[in-house]
Amino acid sequence: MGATNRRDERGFARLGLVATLAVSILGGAVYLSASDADAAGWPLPRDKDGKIIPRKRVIDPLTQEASDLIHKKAFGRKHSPSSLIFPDQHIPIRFSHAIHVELAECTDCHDDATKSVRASDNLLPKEATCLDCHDVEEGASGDPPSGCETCHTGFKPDWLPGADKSDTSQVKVHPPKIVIPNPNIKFNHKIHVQKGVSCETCHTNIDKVAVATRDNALPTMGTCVSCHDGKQAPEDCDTCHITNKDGRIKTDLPGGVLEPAGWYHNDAHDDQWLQNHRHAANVGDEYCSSCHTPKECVDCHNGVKKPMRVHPNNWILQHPSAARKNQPDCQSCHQSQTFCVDCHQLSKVASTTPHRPAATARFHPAGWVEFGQRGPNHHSFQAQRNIRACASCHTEESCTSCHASNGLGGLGVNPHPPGFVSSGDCDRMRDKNDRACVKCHAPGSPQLRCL
Amino acid sequence: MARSVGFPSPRGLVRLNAVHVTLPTKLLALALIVATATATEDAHAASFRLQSQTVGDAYQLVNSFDELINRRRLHQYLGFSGHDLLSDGEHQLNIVTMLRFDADFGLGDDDLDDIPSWRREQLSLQYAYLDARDIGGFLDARLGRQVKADTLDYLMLDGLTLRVELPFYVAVEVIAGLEVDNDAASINASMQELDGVRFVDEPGASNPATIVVGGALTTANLAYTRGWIGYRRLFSDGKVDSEKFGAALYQRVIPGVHVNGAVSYDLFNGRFDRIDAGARWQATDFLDVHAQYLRQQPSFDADSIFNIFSSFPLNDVTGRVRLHLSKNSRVYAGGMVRFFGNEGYTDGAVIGTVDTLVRSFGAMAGWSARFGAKGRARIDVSYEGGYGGDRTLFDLGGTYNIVPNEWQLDGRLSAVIFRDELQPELNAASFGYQVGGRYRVVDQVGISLMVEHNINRLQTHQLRVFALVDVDVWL
Repeated sequence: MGATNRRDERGFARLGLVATLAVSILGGAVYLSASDADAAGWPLPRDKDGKIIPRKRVIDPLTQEASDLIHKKAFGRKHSPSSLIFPDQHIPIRFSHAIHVELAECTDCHDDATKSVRASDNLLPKEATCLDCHDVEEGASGDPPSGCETCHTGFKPDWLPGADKSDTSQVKVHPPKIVIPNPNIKFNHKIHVQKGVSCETCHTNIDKVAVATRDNALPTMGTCVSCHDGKQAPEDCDTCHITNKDGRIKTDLPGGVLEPAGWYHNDAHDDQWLQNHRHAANVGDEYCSSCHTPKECVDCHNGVKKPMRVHPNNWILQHPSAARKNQPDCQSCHQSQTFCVDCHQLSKVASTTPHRPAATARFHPAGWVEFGQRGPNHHSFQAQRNIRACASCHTEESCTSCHASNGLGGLGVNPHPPGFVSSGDCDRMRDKNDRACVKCHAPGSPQLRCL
Repeated sequence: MARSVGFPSPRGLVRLNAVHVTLPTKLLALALIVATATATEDAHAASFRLQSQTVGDAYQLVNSFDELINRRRLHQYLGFSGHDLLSDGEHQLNIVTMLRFDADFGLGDDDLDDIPSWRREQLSLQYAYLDARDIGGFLDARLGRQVKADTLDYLMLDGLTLRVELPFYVAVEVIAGLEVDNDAASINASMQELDGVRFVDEPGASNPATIVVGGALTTANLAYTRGWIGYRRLFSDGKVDSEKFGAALYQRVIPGVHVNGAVSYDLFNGRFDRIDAGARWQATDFLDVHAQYLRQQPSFDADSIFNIFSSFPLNDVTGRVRLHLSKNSRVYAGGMVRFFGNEGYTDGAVIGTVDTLVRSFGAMAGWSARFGAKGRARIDVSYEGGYGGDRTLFDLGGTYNIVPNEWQLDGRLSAVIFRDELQPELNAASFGYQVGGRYRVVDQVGISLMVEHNINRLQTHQLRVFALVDVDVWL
């Protein structure tokens, strides 16, 4: 009784330790996130009066601002918005925001921006806005320079006969048009302006650029999620990303398939994603289901579709090695006692296959089954290392034929690890479910009482 | 899940006649009624989707006795879903269903002995549930057959999942229902059920329903922190089939540095069946580094004696470095080492030298690129050695969109050399290629065809043909 109590105590202590650890992790995470925190989620330090002590800012390398700073270290790579979200633009114009921001407010030219509720709204100033300051009739020598070619690079106007040269519509051929395709994103300028978000917050470095383009003036997702973190602003994917009719993110875009690069949420759908996607799924399927339907899960995990990307060519022939290594994890898609055994029986690999011809070659090496003494090839070592490899051909009957007690047709070979009884494992497993016990131990046997 | 009751029968561990769980059918009918009733108020916003996918798969393999086996399989998916049935634009009420029919041809009766007939010709309800989101601003509910994946396991259940959002970025999840049995015939099919016991058709076998209950505490609405702590118990006839407790965490520590971890503790076996921890540092747009540790010790259905033999965990460490050469191309290089332990088992009656720790290891490198709407390509080279054998693989694959969104060409070349010390007869060098393509007939219909041809000394020629017809219509 005393021994049982000690075992119980050990079991409770172990469970308690695990529970404490887990609760601490989650509790800590929630605390960090729920408290006043910096962009990384860490709590901000406070002085004795409770005031936040400013600390050196950690620059998010995935914003354009930081990318500029570390440009050289990044071998010339610069973080810029996705071309799937903002398709390629054609802006055949000369312009300097750097000069103009010294002379005017943003809304002096982009007056529609404060009212815009859609990302597809055209917020470029109309030509008339430019002409408020640039008098075309004064030409390139004016102050400010105002010839057509001042802005429309290389454009020489061919005026219609008798044209009023202050009316730029009266040319025979117009300069190339600016083409800015609709972004594949939701954005509401009006709300952001109302919330007090300044233009420079998103359009960083706009005071330093000439023509504003996708790559130097539009925000990256890093800029968006610096506020859209669930605390300052909603973090739901569909806050910004356009959705299909089922509410999931529209990933099939005209320029290709939208996939996470992993910069922001460690979800890069890259060369290792087949192995790593479990980390995203570990914390629940809600995040994955922002884009994926359950069918995409069952295609593989309850699968028949066999996406060719998962296994290389001629997988059937080479899979035994991978199965012994359990690399990749076979069980994540294949159940050993159904999928594997079924196929091994069909292909007459399994020794238990009905109507199997007499074996012409030995499958297991010498020393695989030896009574009394075990050598390096003994099956017990293989089973302890990776029982799933065994279970892909063998059913429990293969094991019980030797390991069951004599009274149940076996040879009574004890497979239990050392300390199975003294550690309390026996009591615990028997108490929770003794159906496995009775496969080897006869009713009434002392082993069923963990003696 | 219960796999057997009482003592082993001469044919192994068997089940009684399946208890046909009709709950999903009832739920489906109920959901359709609700959907129809609620959708009539503003039918314009509600949307309905019909999906069909036909998968044909034919391949050859040579068995251990040099006999050629022709396998032909057909799988038919049929899905129907209704979204935003309340027409509120928030997708507060949805219904989702997916049926699948699997048929296995090309096999003789002898081949099929001991493989239950319902596993080769089976109509299965993959999932069918009514999905309610954000009820009252705090409650999500899912009722019906559903697939659940989390730290503890994959699970397919007929039941109810509730998620209640609480203040302070926390939510509570509760699940209750019946585990879906693959062996319960009818339309119940699941590859996610607990593994460990093989059952065969036998008249008079029983199949007690396996009850699933569980709960979890999770973070909610946080972009850079996702945590999960959960408990789940599966039991039948008063006995535990699986009982686990686990936790998982993802945290962006500072911008560019991410950590993740997960533990799953098996309360039946009294051990961790999985510990997983990793970190990724995305230093710049040009460089990222990733390292991951995994400790795994398989757990089986508590009815299975395999739990006894599964004594030691494997420990695995992997690492990769990626260079992002441009926005659309990257190269990577990495390595892995996996340790299989036997410590404690070499005492007693051991002859010769037995390694208490065996290793497998590997190295890999590759390149991948996307060419916008034109396609993508990749090259992977890897070597694996140590326990389980050696394998050297060269793999080249790509997709070229001849006419974007209409004609697509796929190809793949593989060369592999593999060697297994346990089975020297199976050592070989193999060359294989795949050629295929996809034609999108209209936006809603696509056809794919893929042919795989492998050449090696063991199977001079091995052919595989894979065809797929997709129909996806928003009504």
